[in-house]
Amino acid sequence: MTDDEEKLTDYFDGRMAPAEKAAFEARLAAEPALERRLRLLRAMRASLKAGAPAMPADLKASLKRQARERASRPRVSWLESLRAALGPGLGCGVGAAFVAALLAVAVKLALPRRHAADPAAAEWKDDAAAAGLKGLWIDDDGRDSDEG
Amino acid sequence: MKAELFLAALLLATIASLSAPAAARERPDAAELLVAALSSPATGYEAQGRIQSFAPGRKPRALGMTVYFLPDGRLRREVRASPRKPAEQVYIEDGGRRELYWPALATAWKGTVTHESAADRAARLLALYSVSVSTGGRVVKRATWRLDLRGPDGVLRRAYWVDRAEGLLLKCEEYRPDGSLLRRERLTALGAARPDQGLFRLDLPPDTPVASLTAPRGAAVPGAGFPRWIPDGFLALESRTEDSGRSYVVGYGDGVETFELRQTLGAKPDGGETSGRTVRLKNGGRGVLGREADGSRLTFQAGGRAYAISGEIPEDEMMRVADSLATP
Repeated sequence: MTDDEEKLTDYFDGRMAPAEKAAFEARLAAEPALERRLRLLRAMRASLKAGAPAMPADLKASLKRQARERASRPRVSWLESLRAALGPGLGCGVGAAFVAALLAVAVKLALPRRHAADPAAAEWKDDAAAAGLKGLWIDDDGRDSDEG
Repeated sequence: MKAELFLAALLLATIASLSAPAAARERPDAAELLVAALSSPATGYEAQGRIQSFAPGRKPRALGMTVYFLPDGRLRREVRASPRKPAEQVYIEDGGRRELYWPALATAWKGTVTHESAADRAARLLALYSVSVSTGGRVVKRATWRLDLRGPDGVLRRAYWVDRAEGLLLKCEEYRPDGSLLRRERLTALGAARPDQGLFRLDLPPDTPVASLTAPRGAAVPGAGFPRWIPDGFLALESRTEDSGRSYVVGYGDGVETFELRQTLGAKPDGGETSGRTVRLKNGGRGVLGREADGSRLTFQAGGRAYAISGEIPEDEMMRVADSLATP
């Protein structure tokens, strides 16, 4: 996650301190690209919550534009492109290697995913909070009465 | 002679009816009283209170608090050693969000809390326990009804003391599966008040770091789910992986009690414990409630993962944690 993505998430989730929030809102006002990413994040969260996403109009327009550009290009199949790039001699050997790689990816995807690649990364302890919480409690006589 | 006997019987009947408290003759419906006790108060209140924790073989521990309630469900809870000392922690809750500011650690914790109506909470308790009502003595100088909630084995698991006049929850006790007292929360002074609206906002000093209330700050493993509700006063305190990375464990605590949330891909937790009482979770799935040496344990499956919640919190709170779980 980039620094901006983290800030966007924090801002969206209301996890920013007032000063940081004000500074970030100033950036949002000055940087349309950042503001657009916030709207995209909002739309994604809304779609996760409500099911049917309401896609921002400018994102929709941008996707349509990209689709039109792709459609206007001459159509060449990926196999033809590969053949042209490799030449007739290399085609068979590299093709076999390509199929083997595809198979390896398929097998990897079919296997159940593990939780954490690096167990140490998930290792975390808030010793200050744990000690602080313990310190809030004092010895008591255990009586059940109105006197505090 | 017959007339004398009749008069004597009439006199005895009159004395008996006068000596029985009027309210005892109008004992309320237990389920309705439970909903009232879990509902927001009809007016604003300011109260002093105490939470006591009891563990076998050690002295009871306690912490004091000042609580402000509003009829719309907002609540401010200040943890303090005594009513005259400054607040050591400040909690704000509005039914949808919970925030904590802890000046000594210069840190705030925030989280979106899954809102539950009083009826929903009462329904969970009634699905788990049988409930009965009896006279409860006086708490903060108010006459109370006592609600006893017992498991299928007849062991008392929770007790509530509810103000007869206004339905306010004044005291509650939680018990371990063996029936021993685990925790008592009670108000020690209560007065009607109109707390200032500003009390229900958390104005943090600039640059105060804000952490998640329910998720650890360590790198979360891919696809891990975290609850949107944990019991009052608890924080995420640690996380780790076990079984060569197959299981991910998050530990929560409030300084005296702890519980853990363990999630394991595919398999059943700890090799597949299935004995215990089957319970229905809010998402329609089934869970199994069992006992452990130091408390209870709830196991269930969701989204291709096996979950286990274990520790010293009551079973209904384990179920509420499970019901609030945001599974990937």
